Amino acid sequence: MSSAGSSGGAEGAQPERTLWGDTWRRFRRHRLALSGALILLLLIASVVAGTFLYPLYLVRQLADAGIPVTATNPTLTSLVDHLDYVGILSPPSKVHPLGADDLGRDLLARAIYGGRVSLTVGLVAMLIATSLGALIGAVSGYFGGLLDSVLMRITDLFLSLPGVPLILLVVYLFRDSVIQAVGSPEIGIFLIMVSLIGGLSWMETARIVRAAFLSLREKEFVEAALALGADDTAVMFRHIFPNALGPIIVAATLGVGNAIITESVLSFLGVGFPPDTPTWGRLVTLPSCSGISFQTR
Amino acid sequence: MSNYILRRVLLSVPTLLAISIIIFAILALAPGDPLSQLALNPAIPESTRQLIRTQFGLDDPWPVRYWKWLTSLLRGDWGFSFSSRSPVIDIVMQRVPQTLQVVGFAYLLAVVLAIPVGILAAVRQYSWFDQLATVFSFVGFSVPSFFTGLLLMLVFAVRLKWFPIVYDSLLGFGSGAEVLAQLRQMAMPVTVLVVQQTAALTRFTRSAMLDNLGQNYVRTARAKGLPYRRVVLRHVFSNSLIPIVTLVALSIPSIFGGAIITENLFRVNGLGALLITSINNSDTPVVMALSFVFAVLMVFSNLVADVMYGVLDPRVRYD
Repeated sequence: MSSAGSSGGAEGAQPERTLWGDTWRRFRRHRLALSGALILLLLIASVVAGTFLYPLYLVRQLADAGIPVTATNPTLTSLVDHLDYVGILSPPSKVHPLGADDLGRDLLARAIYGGRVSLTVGLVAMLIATSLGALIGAVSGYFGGLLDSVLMRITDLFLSLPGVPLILLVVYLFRDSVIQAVGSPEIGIFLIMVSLIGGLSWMETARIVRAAFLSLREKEFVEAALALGADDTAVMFRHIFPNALGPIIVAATLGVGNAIITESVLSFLGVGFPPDTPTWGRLVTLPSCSGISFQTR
Repeated sequence: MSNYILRRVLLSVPTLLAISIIIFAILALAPGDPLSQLALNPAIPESTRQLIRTQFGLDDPWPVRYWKWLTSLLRGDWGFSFSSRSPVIDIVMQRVPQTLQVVGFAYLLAVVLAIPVGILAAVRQYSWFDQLATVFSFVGFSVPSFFTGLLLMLVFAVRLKWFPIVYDSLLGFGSGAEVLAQLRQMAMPVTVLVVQQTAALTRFTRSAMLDNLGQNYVRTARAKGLPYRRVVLRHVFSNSLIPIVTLVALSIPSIFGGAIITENLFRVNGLGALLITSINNSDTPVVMALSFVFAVLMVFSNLVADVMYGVLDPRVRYD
C-alpha cells in the first residue's frame, strides 16, 4: 500500500497503479518467491549465454590442445556430439571445464544443451498446466452450480489417476507413432512429454483458482464491473484474475521444478528423450549406466 | 458416521471404474501388438498366432474386452500374462512382499522420524535445530531420488563396500545372518525413500504445530498451570494431527510411485520393477493389473484420509 498522508493534493505526483502492478508489488514483497524466480532467471540466462559464448571457447581450447574440431561451422548442437578421444573421462580441466564423459564428449556443452531441453520442458509443461488449471478453476468458481460440480468431479478423477505409471505407459505406447507423425524423435518426445506432464498436473492450480474465484466474485468491484456492462469473460479475466494471481504464480513456479524432475525420472527409467539427447536428467543418470566416475579410472 | 463412510466407499466405485476405463482405453487404442513377441518366433506360424488372438479375444472391440476384463476381475481372475505364461495374480503376489518390505518399512520409519522432528522444530522455532531441519527438508524436496540413490551407491556400495549393489530377493529371515543381510541390502533403498518422505512430512508437521501453538487455548492451558511439555504433546499435537494424518494417508500412493524409481535403481524386484519390465515387454494384462492396483491404492488412501479427518475432528459434519 502507498504511504498515507500524501492523498489529496499530491494526487498527480503518484504514478498510476494498475492491477498487474499491484500483483508485481505483492510478489516482490515475498522474498522467498522472488529469490526462487531470480534463480530460475539466472539459470535461463546462463543457458542462453552459454549457447552463444561457450562454443567459441571450446573450439579454441580444442584447437590449442592440438585436436581441432573438424566441422566447418561448429555450434553448440554439433559440439554436443563432438568426440574428443584424448579427453575420454577426463576430470575437469582447462579444455573441459566440467570434464568429459566416457565417449569424450564435453560435459559443460552437454549441460548447457541439456538445460535448454529441460528448461523448455519445464516451462512449457508449466504453461500448459497453469493455463488449463486457471481456465477450469475460473469457470468452475465463477459460474458455480452444475458446471462447477462436474468440473470438480473431473478434477478429483484426475487427482486419483496414478501419475508416474500412467505417464510411463502413455510415453512408451505412443512414442513411435507420435515420432512418425512429427518426423523428428526429439520434437515428438518433447510434445508427448509436455502435454502429458502438463495434462496431469493442472489440478492443484484449478483448485486454488476456484477457491479464489469463489470468494472474489462476491466482492463489490465485480458488481461494479458488471454494472458498467462488462461481460463474463472480461469480469473473469480482466477484473478477478489479476487478484488471484499470487497463488497461481507460486503454484506455477513449483510446477516448473516438478516438470523438470518428472522429465528426468522418465529419462532415468529409459522412456524419455532419445539416449543421445542430453537432458539434465540423462546427465545425472549417466554414471549409473557406465558405472564409472572420474576417479576410479 | 458409518453412513458417511458407506457413502464415501460407494462414491469411490465410479471413480475406480472411470480410471480403469481410461487405462484400458489407452492400452487398447495404443499402436503395437501384444503378440509382436510371438511374431518374431519363426516356429509359430501365422495361423497359430491368429488362433491365439481369437482365443484371447484380441480382435473384439475394446469396450467388449473391457467388459470381459471387468467381469473376470470381479470373479478374482486377473488374466494371464503374455510373457511369463502364468496368471497375473501370481506374478503380482510374488512381487508384493519385496515392495512392502522396502517401501512399507521406509514409510513407517519416515513417519516415526518426521513427527518428533517437526514438533521439536516448531517448539524451538528458528533455533539451530529448526534451521538444520529446514535445510535438510529442502535438500530432500529438491534432490531427485535417483540422484541421492546414485550418490549412496557410489559412496557406500562401490567405495566402502558396506552394502550390496543388487538386491537379493531369495534371502529369507531364517537365521541371524540372513536377517543381517536383509537389513544390509535394505539400508540404501530405505534411506533414499526416507529422505524424500521425511522432508515433506517434517515441514508439514512443523507448520501444523506452529498454526496451533499460537492459539488461545494454549495460553489457557498454560494459565491453568499445566506444564508446557504436556500442553504441547497433548493439546497442540492432537489438534495438529488432523492435517498430518491427511498428508500421511495421501502420500501412500506417491511413495509407491516413487518406489518405481528406487526399485529400479537398487534392483529390488518389487511392483515398480515389474511395471517397467511389463511395459517393455508389451505385457498388457500385467500392466493393466498393476495400473489398477496403483489406482485402487490412490482411491483407498483418499478414502482413509477423508474418514480419518472425521474421526480426529468431531467438528466435521457429515452431510
